[in-house]
Amino acid sequence: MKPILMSSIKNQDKTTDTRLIGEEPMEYTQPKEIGAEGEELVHIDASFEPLIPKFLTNRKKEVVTMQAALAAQDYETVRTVAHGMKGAGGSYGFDRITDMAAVVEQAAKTGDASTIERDLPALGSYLDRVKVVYE
Amino acid sequence: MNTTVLVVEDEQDTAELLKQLLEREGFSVLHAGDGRQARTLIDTIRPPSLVLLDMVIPYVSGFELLRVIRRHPDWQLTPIIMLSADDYEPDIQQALREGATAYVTKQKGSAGLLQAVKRVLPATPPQDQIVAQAGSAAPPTRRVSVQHRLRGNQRKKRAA
Repeated sequence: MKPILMSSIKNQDKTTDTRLIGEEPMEYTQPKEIGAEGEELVHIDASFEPLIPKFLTNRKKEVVTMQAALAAQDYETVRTVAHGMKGAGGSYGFDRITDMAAVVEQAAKTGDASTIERDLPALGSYLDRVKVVYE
Repeated sequence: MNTTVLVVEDEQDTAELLKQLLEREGFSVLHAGDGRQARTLIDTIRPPSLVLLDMVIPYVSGFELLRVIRRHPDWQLTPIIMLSADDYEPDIQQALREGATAYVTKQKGSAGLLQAVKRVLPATPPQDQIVAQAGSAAPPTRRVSVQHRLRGNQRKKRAA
C-alpha cells in the first residue's frame, strides 16, 4: 500500500479525487450557490442534520471570541480559533467557512489587524445567511 | 468483525462528525479529546484497528503521538491516518516519513476521509490478529509488505 494523500477536489458531481504524494496540488474552490432569497446554499448529507445547528452556533460564538481577542490584540487566540474553524468547516463541507477562516488565520499569524477587522464581519454575515440543504 | 477506530481530535464538532460518520459505517469509535487522553489510552487499552490522528491537538502534538505509537510494542503496527486543516507539504512528508499510513486534509470533507479509511483498512489485518502474532519471531507479513512498499515509495521520491 502506498501512503495516501487525500488532498482532493470536489468536482461538479461532488465526487472526491484521490491523489498520491508527488502529484501537483490542485486548486480547490467551492462555487457559490445562491437561493431564491439571496441566501448562500450549502448541501450537506442528511444524516448529519442533527449536528448542524450546534456546528453553526459554535462557529458564531467563535467569531465573537475572535473579535474580542482582536480587540485585545491577542493574535494567538485569533489564530488558534481560526485554525480550528478552518478544519471544522472543511470536515462538515462548509468550504466557504474554511476559506474565510484560513484568511483570518493567516492574517493573525502576521498581526494583520485590518484584514481580520474586514473578514470577521464577513464571516459572521455568512454564518447568518447560509442555508443548509440536506440531501 | 467489530472494527474499532480511535479518533484523536480536540475540536468537539469535528469529533462528533467523525464519530457519527464512522459509526454509520459500522465502526466502533473511541475518542480522545487531547494528547494526554490519547497517551493514556495508548498505555492502557489494546490497539484499535485504526487511529485517526489530528495534527494539532493540546498537550501532546500529533507528531509526538505518531512517534509514541510507532515505538509502542503493541501499537506500532496500527494504521494511522493523520488529519490536518493544512496541506503544508513538509508536514505531509514528515508525517509519512515518521510512519503515518495516510494523510488527509480536513478540507476534503467526510467523503474524502471515509475514502481514506476504506483504502487503509481493507489491507490491514484486524489488530487482535496482529497482537496475537506479536510473540512470534516474524512480524505480520502483510504489514511488512506495507512498510516495504512505503519505504520504496519514499526512495523513489528521493531519487526523482
